[in-house]
Amino acid sequence: MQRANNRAWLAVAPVVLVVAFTAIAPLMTVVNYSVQDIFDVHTRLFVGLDWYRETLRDPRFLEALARQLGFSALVLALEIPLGIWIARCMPLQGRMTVAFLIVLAVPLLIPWNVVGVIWQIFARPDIGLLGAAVTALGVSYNYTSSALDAWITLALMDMWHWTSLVALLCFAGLAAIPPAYYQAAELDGASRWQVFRHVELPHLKSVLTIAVLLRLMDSLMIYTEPFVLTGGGPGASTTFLSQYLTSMAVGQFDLGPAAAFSVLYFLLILLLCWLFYTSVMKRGDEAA
Amino acid sequence: MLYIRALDLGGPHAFSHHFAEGAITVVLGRNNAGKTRLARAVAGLDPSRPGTVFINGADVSTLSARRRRVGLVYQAFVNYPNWSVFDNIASPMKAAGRGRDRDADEMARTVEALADRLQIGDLLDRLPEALSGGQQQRVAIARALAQQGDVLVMDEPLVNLDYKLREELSLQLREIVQSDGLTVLYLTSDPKDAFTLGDEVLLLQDRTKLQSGTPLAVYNAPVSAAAADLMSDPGVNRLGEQILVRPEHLRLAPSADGDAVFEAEVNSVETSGAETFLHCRVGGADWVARLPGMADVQAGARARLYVAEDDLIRFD
Repeated sequence: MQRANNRAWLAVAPVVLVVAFTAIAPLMTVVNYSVQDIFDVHTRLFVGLDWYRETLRDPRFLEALARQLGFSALVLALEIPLGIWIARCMPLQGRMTVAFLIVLAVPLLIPWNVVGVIWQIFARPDIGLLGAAVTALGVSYNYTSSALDAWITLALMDMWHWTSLVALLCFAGLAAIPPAYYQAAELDGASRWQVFRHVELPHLKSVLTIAVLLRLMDSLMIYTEPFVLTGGGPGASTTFLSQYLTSMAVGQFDLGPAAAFSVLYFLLILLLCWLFYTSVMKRGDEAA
Repeated sequence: MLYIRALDLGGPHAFSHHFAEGAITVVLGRNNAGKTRLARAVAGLDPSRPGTVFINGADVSTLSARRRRVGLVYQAFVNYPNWSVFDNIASPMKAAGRGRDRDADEMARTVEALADRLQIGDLLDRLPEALSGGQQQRVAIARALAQQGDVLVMDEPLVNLDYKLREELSLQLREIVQSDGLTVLYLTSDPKDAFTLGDEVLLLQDRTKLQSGTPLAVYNAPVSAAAADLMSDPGVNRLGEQILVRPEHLRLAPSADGDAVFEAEVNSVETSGAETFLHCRVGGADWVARLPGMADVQAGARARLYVAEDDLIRFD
């Protein structure tokens, strides 16, 4: 037995090496930076946890964090129900299904900065289709000057970009439900809502877990689209964690604080995803 | 009572049949024979299919699946995945609005009685996914019985179970469904089920009714070669178009009174100890002889097969 185990280590060694070079070593470098004050390559000062303390007391960090959590909660609350709804409206087979699938896949294939550019133009109040139409209706709308408008535009853009992913995952989940379940529910005289609640939703549990996890992680890391669309403004109203971090590390070259920020950011995403995943799994275990 | 008149199953002739009341009718047919279409039509899941279904003398063709109260058990183990066994069994009664206050006690008693009858009384607070396949199917059967209607349709309910469980449940099934005086349709492709479960058997082929009657009557007097073949496992042996020989009627030894004799070339010998199957060629056709015990025949040898003249099935 012992020999077999050792051989297994040999088999996974290449993966361990690759992961070590691409993930663990860079991450450890960041951790190393985060406990030092770096003046230049040769002049460093060990400062312990000072940068962490400073970051956690930084009002701009806390504001960006609040915005970030708000944005993630908002897009999850919009995209998950909408995605399920779209998937339920799709025909399960036939030519129309293929058409739906292609249309849904399109937003996912567009590079993220292009999505930002598309929406930047689309939402412009002077020449953009959406912006001009809304303005023509007499609604005052300008995402470059109003924080609310900027948020609405960002949320719409994110929905446009990512609801497809949820819909496609849910569609796959729905397509896997044997028709006998629907018939059994029909015999029981279940209403449309009851069929959804007691037949479809339980079968969608695992794909929804994946969908929520992916959207949660991705929305917490959102950078490109708001960077292109609003550049974090107006003011700092759409400056999320990644944007603030970038301005700190690349703009001001504060490597120490930025490294501490990065570690906190990483731990935050890890923590939220872990909390979500374990709570889902725990509920599953309790139910079983 | 269940009566079906002029139901269009998609075959050359419309389907009509009086099902024996309070009895188990085994509907025997191969894949695509129209069994599942029949089941769906009885349950009311295909409201657009032409034909009339009467339950207890009333035309239910226009009633929704829910109001017909036909219990349906599937090949797959269909239960609500996030409900306990208790809630699953109670689901038809809850849907009918009987889960409230005054009726709740009665409902609980009904559920417990059904669970006991299916020997799942100690699993009531489990979820279906925590049960074995056999237990899940027992829950599904209890759910179907909880419809408390007069008709129960079982669409190959034991196919997905492993051999031992299938035998066990198949032996209990008669007792389980019969105590309610239910009219049961048991859909299957296995002729053995007709004998173990059926009060009556109904043969379906190409979406058309071939024959019906008690299993023995259908076995002894098939109306056609196809009917004889359906009630036989392995299938019947053919001697031209008019004469059939059942595998179990063939012998290696002659009897005192006149036998028909066939020269056979043995291709392979398959034995289980208790019986032996000889796969052979007789007059250009593939035959199977089903012999009791071990037979002293080798593959590649020639053998003489005897059959009593009376056992030959002739069609004119």
